[in-house]
Amino acid sequence: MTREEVYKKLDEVFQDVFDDETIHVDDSTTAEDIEDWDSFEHINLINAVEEAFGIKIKMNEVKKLENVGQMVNIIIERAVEC
Amino acid sequence: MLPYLVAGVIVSWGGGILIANQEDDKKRKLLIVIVVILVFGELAFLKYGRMAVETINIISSIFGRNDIIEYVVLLAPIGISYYTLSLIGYVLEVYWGSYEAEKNPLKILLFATFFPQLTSGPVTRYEEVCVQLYGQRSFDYRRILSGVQRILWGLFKKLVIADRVAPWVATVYNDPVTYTGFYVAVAVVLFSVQLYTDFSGCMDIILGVSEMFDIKLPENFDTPFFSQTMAEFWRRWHITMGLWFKDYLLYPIQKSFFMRKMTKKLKKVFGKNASKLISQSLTMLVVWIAIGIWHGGEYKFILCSGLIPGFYLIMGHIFEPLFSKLNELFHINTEAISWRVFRMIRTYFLCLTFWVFLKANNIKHGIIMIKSMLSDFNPWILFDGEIYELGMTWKDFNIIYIGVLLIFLVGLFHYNGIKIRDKISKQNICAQWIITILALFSVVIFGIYGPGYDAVDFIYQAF
Repeated sequence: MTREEVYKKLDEVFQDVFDDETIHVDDSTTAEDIEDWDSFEHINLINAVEEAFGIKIKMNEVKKLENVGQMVNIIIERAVEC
Repeated sequence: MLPYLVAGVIVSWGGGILIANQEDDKKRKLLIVIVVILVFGELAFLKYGRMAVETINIISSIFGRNDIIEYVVLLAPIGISYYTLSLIGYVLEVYWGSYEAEKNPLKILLFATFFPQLTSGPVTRYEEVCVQLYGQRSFDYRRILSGVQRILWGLFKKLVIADRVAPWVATVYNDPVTYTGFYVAVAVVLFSVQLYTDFSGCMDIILGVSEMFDIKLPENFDTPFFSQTMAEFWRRWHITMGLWFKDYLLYPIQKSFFMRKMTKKLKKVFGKNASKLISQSLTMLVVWIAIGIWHGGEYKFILCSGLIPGFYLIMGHIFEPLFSKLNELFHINTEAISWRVFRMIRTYFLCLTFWVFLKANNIKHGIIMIKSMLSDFNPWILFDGEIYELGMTWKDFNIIYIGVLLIFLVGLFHYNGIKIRDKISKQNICAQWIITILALFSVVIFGIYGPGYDAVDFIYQAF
């Protein structure tokens, strides 16, 4: 999967989780940029990303994700593995 | 008591190595479950035995049999609640592959029992402290002075404020039948002062001592009384405990197969948003009951440190969209200082409602005190000198007022990103010493200590 393809799908996941169709994410997007992105939504988002891309994100990665760019790196790495 | 501590360390150290060397996922899962049960089981056995016995006796009394089991007092190692969390955190991180398992058991022992933090936290994480604890330390005069200043600030909070109000608070809390109405209201407010100055003062001493050894431990408080919501309060109060429960209980529950499946089923019945709220509320309930249980083997802790704050958070979570709409409807400027101050005061009052039970001898006493505050109107005790007859003179009260004001001002600076010790460190060395010596004298002159005085234990040492 290319980075662009991942982002296209990821936008849909974010829009669905946060109920906001105006959301578009990029490498530098963080929890600070999306109003409802709290601890719970973080896990809901991880669960939704795992389902959408058919991958597993490890617990230690869940805690350490600093921005969407890091999430995309994991998705690309795992999606290739799949 | 030492064998319990050593056993916890050995299980965590050995468990960590076994988990790291095991490649079969099912066996790794089994191992982590066994290690967590063993380490947590020790804490449960030593600290929650009384609660288990009480529960069995209450249930048996319903069926007409009284006190079928007798409780045998077991001495738990000091700091067991804190090092248990640290050790479980360590093995979970090894299980999740965050870092390699430590091969040297003495390093795990030092991590669990580093002397300043052993009794009252903060709850440390292996990755935060391992490099510092096992690396080379250097001597730095400025750091020593800065550490001493923090210790003195902690001693000021503990000896000048917390220990001064402690006897007054204890008198009222121990006899809520005699002391009613405004006595209780003053005691509840003073206890909040005692709790904060005692616990955060203890942290200042611990972090100051560690700083002198060139070890930076995580902060446990970040001006909690400036919080506008309960959720923010718990991000600023007992921070390391809150983060521990978030990372090692809330996240795994919310990410678990069971919770995901349940949320999906709920979604079909109640829709997306309601199913989210239900599953999040259930997770919060479990986490807050666990936090309550961690605080001690008594039902009152489950109520005041678990169920009530958990209830407020769940309600805040559920009604947050409604409050936002109401704010829009009434054109409330949520950025106005007056609105923010109102929210801070509201958060503080919500805290008082569960701290009543924290200090009360039991839940029944707590309820009596709340009823008494709401029904007995005796404000004259504030003006006719009666409040000065319970172990605190008007001079003591004035010292409390000035001390609290000082703590508030320092907190206000801190809240706005200005750190007092950084400012002091930029002064000439002579001025730095004068400030330090003045701080020392203020503790020596105004502190409560000396022959015949029985120093009050740090509150959070008991947990």
